[in-house]
Amino acid sequence: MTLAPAAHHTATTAVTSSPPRRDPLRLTEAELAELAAEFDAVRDEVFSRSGQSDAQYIRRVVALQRSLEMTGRACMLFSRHKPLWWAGVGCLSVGKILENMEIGHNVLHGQWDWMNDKEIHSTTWEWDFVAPSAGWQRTHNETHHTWTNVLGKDRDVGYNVLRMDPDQPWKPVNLLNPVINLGLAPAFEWGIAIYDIELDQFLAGKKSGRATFEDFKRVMKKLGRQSAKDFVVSPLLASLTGSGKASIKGFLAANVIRNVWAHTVIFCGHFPDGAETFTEEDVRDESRGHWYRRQAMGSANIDGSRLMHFMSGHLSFQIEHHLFPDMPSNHLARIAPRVREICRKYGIRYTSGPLPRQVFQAWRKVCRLALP
Amino acid sequence: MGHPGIKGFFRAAAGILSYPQDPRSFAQIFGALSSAHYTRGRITRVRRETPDTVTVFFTAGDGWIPHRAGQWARIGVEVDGKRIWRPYSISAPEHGDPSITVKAQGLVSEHIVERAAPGNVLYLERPEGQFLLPDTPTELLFMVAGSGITPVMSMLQTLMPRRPDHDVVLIYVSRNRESCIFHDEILELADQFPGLRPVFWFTEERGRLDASDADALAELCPDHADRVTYACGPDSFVSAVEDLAGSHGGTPVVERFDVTRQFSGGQRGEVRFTRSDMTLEVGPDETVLEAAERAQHQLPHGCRMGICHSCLVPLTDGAVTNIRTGELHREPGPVQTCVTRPAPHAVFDA
Ligand SMILES: Cc1cc2nc3c(=O)[nH]c(=O)nc-3n(C[C@H](O)[C@H](O)[C@H](O)COP(=O)(O)OP(=O)(O)OC[C@H]3O[C@@H](n4cnc5c(N)ncnc54)[C@H](O)[C@@H]3O)c2cc1C
Ligand code: FES
Repeated sequence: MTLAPAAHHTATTAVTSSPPRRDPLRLTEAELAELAAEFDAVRDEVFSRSGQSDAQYIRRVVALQRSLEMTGRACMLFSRHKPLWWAGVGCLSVGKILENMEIGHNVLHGQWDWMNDKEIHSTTWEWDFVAPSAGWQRTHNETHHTWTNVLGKDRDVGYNVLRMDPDQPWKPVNLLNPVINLGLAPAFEWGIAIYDIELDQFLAGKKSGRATFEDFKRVMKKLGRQSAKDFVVSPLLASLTGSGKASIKGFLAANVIRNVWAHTVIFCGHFPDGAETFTEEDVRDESRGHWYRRQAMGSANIDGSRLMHFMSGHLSFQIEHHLFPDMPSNHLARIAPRVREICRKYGIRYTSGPLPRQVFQAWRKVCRLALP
Repeated sequence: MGHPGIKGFFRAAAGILSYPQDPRSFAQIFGALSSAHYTRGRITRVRRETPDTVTVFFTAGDGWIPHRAGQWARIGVEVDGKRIWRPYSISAPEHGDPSITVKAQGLVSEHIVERAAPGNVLYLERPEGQFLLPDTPTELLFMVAGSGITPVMSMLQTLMPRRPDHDVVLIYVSRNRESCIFHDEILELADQFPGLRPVFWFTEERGRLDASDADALAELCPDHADRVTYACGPDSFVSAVEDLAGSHGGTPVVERFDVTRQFSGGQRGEVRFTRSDMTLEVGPDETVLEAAERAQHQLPHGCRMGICHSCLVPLTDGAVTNIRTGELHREPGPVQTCVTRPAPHAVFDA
């Protein structure tokens, strides 16, 4: 494991910017209202500015993504030749990562709805990911973003298959935590697709059989088309140049690279040390200030280069994203210092760290919680 | 381009590889003009007509249908990154590349007049409208004011070459010669086709023309009552023409470019959109549509003048008043949000 030394090395940079002056859980209603006003002001400032340059930004990203994807697919037609195989895998992996993260995830949050353009709108976008947009919008936007880190409500705490919090009761199957997570990473998109069918909700009697079946059908249909594209039709075309087999390997590699990267970034969002969980009791009659506080306390950022932020769809600014889920992603880096300052003022821990350390901590949690 | 069946086949085949995106989304990278959601146009030429008016010529991508003289189309432009739509009449004659002629007077029109340049993209909906030339030849009278000349220009350019001796009178009201759109083109057309007799009325020199005054009109066109009349321009002008024609039993063909709003008495109102769980205050001079747009809540709309009915949204509770007629409407069911205000509360299923 090369992760551990790296994590150790960086452990000297403090997790929080400075020691909390107040206990964030003891803020009075008046203080929480003030906190809400400060966060609202950050939001208003950005939304009053969004304009031409933002629209240009997202269109450029979309054009880059489509060019990468077309180049990648073209390379795959001749992937018998090693350099083209590598180029193809590179273009397709980056293309798929951009499509899912900086574009898909953010579009589906409605970050670009203000442009009033159906070509880049949360109600029309279908992403290059097996999980259909509609189901994901429900489990992610409605459930996870509303109930962030509330045990028993936010199903993203472990996705029903992992034990990710000490307050979740231990079951013998949790011994498999590390194995399951290791298996989940390369198959992340299929995992999410199955998760979005919400079989557990159906078994618990909270979701009708009909709705579950409809979701199941939708997933199967999309799974069929996604697989046909990458693993049947494209390889068939590539076989004309004798590249059929090589292209199957290439598409598999690109899909797996995307899955592992998405899994990695997403596990760094809420599971590193410092990101808190809550109980249903905590969120009863929650005000806007409470809500902001919970979102900030329950999320974790990743420090890194602009390229890393871009490739993570700016989910490396998880705290900012959870405070303002519909804020265009290209603004998150700019507001981060202000958000950090507001958190410091109210004693809220602003969890942030470099990628290797956040990955290490998330995995450490997966392993530790395998045991009772 | 090609047979629709063949095109459909290729699109479906390409769609397997471009899934879940439409293949046209990828074609856009190479400058294609259409997408799964829109027909687009590319500006080819911009001509300044008057200090505050330009004509924008464009080529349209797949999905556009050739216009008939007098029709209008909804045009979408991007203002500060946001797509906004307004109806504009097509000023070019039939069978040519389409053009619109826009006079700067607000958000979208100013943007077009100041920024439109060759190469820019316009978003387009299909031409529509019933302001059309008659099927059989008759003596015609066109009465237009200001930018109301645009559809009529298309009609004259289409009609006159087809029937050079056609008896047509054009009464055209504008502020002065400088602000008179297409002034020289109209004179040229009249030179070429003697059947066309244009009458320019400059309000700076002659004051307001009362279009409902039969005597005043008779001076400009003695046989006006015997002609089939067309009127286009601001609501007040068009209504005056209608009043006069009505007095001698005629029904003119009309097109209004704006709405004269009934005074709301400074009353504010409130609307609620149940599906999006949103409650908004509606200012004294605002319509339901405008209030929703101000709150970044997009509602469907077309002409924004109460003519096309593309803005219908079901009213589920409360009441609205029509800002043109002052009529109160309280039955649940679809209402035109572009010409109504809450009275004073209204709930919509949107
Ligand atoms: C069928 C049809 C055809 C049309 N064809 C043409 C055409 O060929 N050419 C053309 O130029 N126009 C045409 N119009 C009008 C056009 O659709 C737009 O209404 C016009 O361009 C103004 O839009 P805008 O966004 O620029 O103005 P908006 O910003 O929407 O403003 C609309 C009007 O309100 C006024 N206004 C704006 N802000 C305020 C304020 N704060 N207080 C008070 N008043 C305000 C403006 O001066 C303007 O007159 C047509 C309209 C219709 C219905
Ligand atoms: S938008 Fe045309 S009638 Fe309302």
